[in-house]
Amino acid sequence: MKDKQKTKSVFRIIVSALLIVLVTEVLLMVGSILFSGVNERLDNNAIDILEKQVENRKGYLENEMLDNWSNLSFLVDDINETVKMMRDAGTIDINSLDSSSESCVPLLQEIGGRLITALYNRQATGIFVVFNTRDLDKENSGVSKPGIYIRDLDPMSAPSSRYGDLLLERAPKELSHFLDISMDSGWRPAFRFTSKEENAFFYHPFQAALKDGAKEEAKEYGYWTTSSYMLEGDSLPAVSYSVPLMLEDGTVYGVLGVEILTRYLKTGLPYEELQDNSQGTYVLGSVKNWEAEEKFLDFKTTIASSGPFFKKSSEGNTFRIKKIKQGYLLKDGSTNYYAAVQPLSLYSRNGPFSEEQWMLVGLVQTKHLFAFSRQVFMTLMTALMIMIVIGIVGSVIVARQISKPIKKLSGEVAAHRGKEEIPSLSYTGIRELDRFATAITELSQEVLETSTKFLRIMEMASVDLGGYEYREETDNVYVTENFFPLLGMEPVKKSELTPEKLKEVLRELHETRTHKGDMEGNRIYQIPLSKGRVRYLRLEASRIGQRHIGLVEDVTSSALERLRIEHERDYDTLTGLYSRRAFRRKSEELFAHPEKLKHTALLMMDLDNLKMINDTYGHDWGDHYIRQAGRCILDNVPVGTVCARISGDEFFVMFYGYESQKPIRKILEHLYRAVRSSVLMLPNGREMPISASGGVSWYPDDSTELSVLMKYADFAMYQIKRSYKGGMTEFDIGSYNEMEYHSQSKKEFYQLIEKELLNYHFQPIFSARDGSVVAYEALMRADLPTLHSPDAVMRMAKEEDRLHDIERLTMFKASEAFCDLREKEELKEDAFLFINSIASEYMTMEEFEEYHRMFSHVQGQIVIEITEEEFLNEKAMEAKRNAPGFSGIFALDDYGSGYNTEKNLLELSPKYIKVDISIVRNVDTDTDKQQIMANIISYAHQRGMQIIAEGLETDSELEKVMELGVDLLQGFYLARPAAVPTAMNPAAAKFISEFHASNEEIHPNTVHLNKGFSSLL
Amino acid sequence: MKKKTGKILLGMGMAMALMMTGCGKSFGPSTDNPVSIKIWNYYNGDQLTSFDDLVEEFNETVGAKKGIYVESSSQGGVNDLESNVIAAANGKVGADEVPNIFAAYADTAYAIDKMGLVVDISEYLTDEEKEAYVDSYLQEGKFSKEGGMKIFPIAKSTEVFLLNKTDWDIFSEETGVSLKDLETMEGVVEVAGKYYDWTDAKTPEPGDGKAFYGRDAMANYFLIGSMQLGTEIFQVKDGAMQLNFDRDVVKTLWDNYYVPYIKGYFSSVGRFRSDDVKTGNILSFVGSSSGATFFPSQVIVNDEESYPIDMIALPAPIFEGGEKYAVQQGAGMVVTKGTEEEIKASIEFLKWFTEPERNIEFSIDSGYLPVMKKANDMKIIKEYDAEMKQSMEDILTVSVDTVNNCSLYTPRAFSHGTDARQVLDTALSDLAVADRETVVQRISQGQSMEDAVSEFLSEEYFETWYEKTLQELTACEG
Repeated sequence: MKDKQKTKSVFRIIVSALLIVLVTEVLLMVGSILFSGVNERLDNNAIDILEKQVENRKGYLENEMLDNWSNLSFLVDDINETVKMMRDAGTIDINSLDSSSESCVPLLQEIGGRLITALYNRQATGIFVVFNTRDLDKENSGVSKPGIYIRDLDPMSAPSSRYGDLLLERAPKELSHFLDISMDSGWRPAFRFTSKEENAFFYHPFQAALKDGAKEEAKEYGYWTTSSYMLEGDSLPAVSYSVPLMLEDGTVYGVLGVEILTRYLKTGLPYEELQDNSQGTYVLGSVKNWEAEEKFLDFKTTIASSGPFFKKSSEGNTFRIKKIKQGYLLKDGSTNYYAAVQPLSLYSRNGPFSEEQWMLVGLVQTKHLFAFSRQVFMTLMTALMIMIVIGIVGSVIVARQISKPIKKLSGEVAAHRGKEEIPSLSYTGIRELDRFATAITELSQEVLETSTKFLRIMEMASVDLGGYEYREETDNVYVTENFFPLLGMEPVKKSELTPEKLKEVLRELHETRTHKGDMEGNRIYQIPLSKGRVRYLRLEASRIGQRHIGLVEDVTSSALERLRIEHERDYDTLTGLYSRRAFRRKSEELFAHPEKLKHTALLMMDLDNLKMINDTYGHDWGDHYIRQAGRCILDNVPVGTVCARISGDEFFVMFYGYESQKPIRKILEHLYRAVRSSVLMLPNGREMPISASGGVSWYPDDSTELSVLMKYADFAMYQIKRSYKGGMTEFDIGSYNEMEYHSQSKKEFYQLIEKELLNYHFQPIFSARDGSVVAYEALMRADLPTLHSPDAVMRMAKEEDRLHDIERLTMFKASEAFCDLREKEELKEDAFLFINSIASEYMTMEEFEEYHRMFSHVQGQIVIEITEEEFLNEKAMEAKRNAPGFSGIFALDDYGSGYNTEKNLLELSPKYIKVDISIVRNVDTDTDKQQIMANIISYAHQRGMQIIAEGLETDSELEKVMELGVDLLQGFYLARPAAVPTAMNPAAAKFISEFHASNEEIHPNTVHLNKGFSSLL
Repeated sequence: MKKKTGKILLGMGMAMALMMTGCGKSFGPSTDNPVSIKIWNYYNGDQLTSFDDLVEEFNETVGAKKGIYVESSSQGGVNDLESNVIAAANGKVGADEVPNIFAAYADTAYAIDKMGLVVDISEYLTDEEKEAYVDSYLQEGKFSKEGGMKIFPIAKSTEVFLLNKTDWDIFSEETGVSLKDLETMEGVVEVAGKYYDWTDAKTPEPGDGKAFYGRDAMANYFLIGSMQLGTEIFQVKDGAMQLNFDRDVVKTLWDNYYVPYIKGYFSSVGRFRSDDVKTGNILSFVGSSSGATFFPSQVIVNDEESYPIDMIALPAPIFEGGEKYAVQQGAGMVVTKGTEEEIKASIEFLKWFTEPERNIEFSIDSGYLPVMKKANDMKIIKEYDAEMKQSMEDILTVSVDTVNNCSLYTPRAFSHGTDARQVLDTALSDLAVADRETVVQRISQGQSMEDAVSEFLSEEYFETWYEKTLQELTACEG
């Protein structure tokens, strides 16, 4: 490849030589065009034409201005005559002519018609007369000067009848009626002199004549305005020519002038004539002393312009043009304009305004002006281009003619590379080349012979060996003859065999044939042969630089041997199902690609009767039983299901890749029916039905983890096995959790018993009579994660049949806590302690004795509170009653809530009856409860028993039970249970004392009666 | 190698081809063949300026693109235009060529049409395009049932009543007259009388009261007045006019113009009544909305004295109990026969000109009303120029209301239409001017107003004038 950059083709060498010649020719031609000066001459022609055009236009304008518009001599004479006549007749007074409009009305009426005629004849846009007899330099600004100003907006049209095309700009109002001319919207009766700049059109000629003493003829003082002006109240810019009105005696009494609207003036400047496509511009402007200027002409203002240069308005623009060697140039940004300048001779030499110079300027962009010369230049260039192209094409053709045979030969040599036959090279007709071709042919012959030798060696090898070789970027591929047969493919024709084709064959092999890598990184392919036989091929490919070499070897015998070993490792020999290890591997593979799993069920099965069969018929029959079960599973699940025997009688079946659970369920059902209907013929001729329990867990519903799923399936399986054998159930997270929770509770319960993790809180019981503490009730407290309420503890104790322990713990722990507090003087020393005893339980004799030994000093204060919820156990009652040191005081708890209430009451004959909280609740509003309460109280009091109202939560309840005559009070409203008991709620205390106080006042008898009653009891 | 060379060759060929075509465009002769069309109009003052500006805009934009160059020239007044067109049509010595487009009233258009020189515009407009224009405007150019459309409406006007608000305010405050009094012609006469007396009383000299009202276009006074009073003076059927110069109707017109005029209540001194307002001669007038640009912003008393005035625009007063008729005027454009290119270019220009955008621009400058239905809406007009002069807005508002609320009347064209119109224009007003002069003379000689006018108020005097005028009009019949 690199060599190609250095060498040059024959073609290129010839072409470059010819091109050098061509370039030289071209350069010569270009040079001759440039030095001939054709362009310059063409440009000068263009300038000359432009200058001529502007000169002609100037001539026309000059003619129009001098011979037509400013030709006022007759009119001036006429007016002067009229003035003299009227002066002589006394109709007017020259000196007061300009005093007011009225004074000049007669004169204007006289000359009005003539002015209009002159206006029409001159084809100007306006005519005016201003009367003034004073030196304007001495006049105040704003002074009125009477006169007339008539405007004709369409001078080119024929005059209208009744002056319909005229408008009055200035005139006394009488004139409007007199001449019957409409007033323009800017009409004023008189002119207003403001400044010499604004009123230049009458200031200059008047002052010139006045200062000069009116020596010359009027037209010698004639004045063309050097910029456009606008009348006050008017919107049209105009220029004008005006002459003074003066009498022979030197009186200057006014000015007569014609007006040319600039827009009308513009029509006389047809800019289209300057350049094609209307690219030229005419500008009319004035400069002072232009001949003296050497470098620039500065136009302070333009009078009128037409054409595209001044886009916005045609008047009042300033611009500057530069004098160059040949004419003038105007620069506008990056654009250059050629300016043809023509001065208009409007004044006689030495006249008062001779230095004011009107100029007509024709502007054309140089690029347009010189367009023709450029076109000529372009044409020559085009011809040159054509010459170049023809030259190049010619060179190419010639070069190709010479290089063609060389190229053909080189092509033939290239085409024969790698082919086995000897290239036959064509005759070129060039001697050197033909000799070269013969040498190549001979060389090829030798190379071919060398390669054949190697091939023979290959064919003689004992193993089936094949191979290929090819080079990148060439078309040559070498394969051994047996290469394709070894791959089990039709041989590819040599002519069609290219590296691409070979790569395709290898790719196809890789994609369509089962294969795996061996330990050296080569691939082993499985090639199916006829009659179900398989050939194993090892492909070893390597690459050396641009060369690719491949070797295929038949490795069928060693591959088969390895496969057999692998099979024995992975399969259970008894059932042919996967072994535990294989199952693990297989399922882990699947779980590594969850997308293959979709919906998956994991079934765990356990054979039910294996032990019995083993014991009864021996292990052989046990194996039969297992085999039968394994077969049954395998026969009744779809292909692809992962079935494994995990241990003796346990199987795992994994159904995976289903779109939903439904199809799996169907298969499961079918499998189970099949298992149940399958039997094993026992040696004694009996049929032994196969029975297996199964548990199913679902992926991903139950879990996405294999280990968890296995655990769940196992759990489900044991669940069903526990209820009935031979069934199948699905994993249920509820029961799993319940079991988990339960076992946790159980664990904690035993911990509780063992470590005696029970505490006791104390709630005071108060006397309804004076609010003093009478007793404390010991209340169990447990604080473990799942066992945090006494109810939970009791439930678990009952379940676990450990009520006895609770009874014992309660007795000991409550008493112990009580003693501690008593010692610390945290509670009333002589108060009773109510301990809740389980009605059906009692401590053993030894325990009783132990208890007595430890707590004899308080035993007299202990009240055994029997809860109504349990059945009273007579034996237990007896034991408790006869316990050593027992005070003999019982309390009946929850009276009115349980069953056999009355029976219990009779059997126990307690000292205290605790009215159940359900009766106390809302007793203040419920009359039924009040009645029940009253009944119990009445019953108890008659028998010397005391009534405890427990669960008091409001003051109303408290009031009611006190009214009903309860003896003792217990409840949150009074005091909450606590590790260290608290005093009575002050509100409740206050209530109790007030209750008695008021009762004594109002019902002293009742209190007395109560007292009497209780004392009686 | 072979391919590469081929590509180089192809590339060179393409470059050459591009260069060659480039040359052709820049330097070859232009294939454009512009059509130049001439328009004659009768505008003057601001209207002419506005029209010329729009023509220039057309030439620079659409015209430049489509190769149309429009040359417009004003021929003075309507009558000049007409005579110039007729002169051109007849090929008189010194007359110009017939223009491609000229502005014309129906009468002129009718006269030229009879010479067979007028193009039927309807052939060049789609129905949709026609639909866009106000119907009655298009109707004006329909001379007979099968005659097609001969006038392209470009701008229309109607008449409005314009009042010098500044002076009126003083007058109305002192005498209690109100603008409501100006709704009827009879009301105007009454107010004018009051104004005369009021101004008379300002000076010790008796009989020097000032006029209140004046009127432009007396022919319209006749034509619209009689329509309001229930008769049409010129009844035209297929180009033939039948005169209906009802004596009673004409007497009412007489009573409401001639009579107050000779008493000095009405006046007409300047060429147009706007000139009279400008000089303080009168306070109000009825005139074309298109004349509104001439309504002055100040009254100029003499060389030194002037004072600014405001303007009120009101609908033109109608006769008591009369029907609401208003005049529809403003010449349309007549396209003359020429080459197909010229006609198409002419139509192109006229369509461009009447598009709301331009038409409204012209309206705002000139006081003419746009001709498309869509544009006859003050809301849309104001969208185009929210900052137009207040006086122009007032005038356009009243005009648009008039167009939208009144029956618009324009006399149909007939053979001697122009002559007949001329009779109406002058017959009454000239007599009024002359007789007023007599009255003034008599008063200056010491006669009382009653004595001075009594001769002219007799029934016989009216009868004489009526008969004479009837005769003149009858001559135009047929």
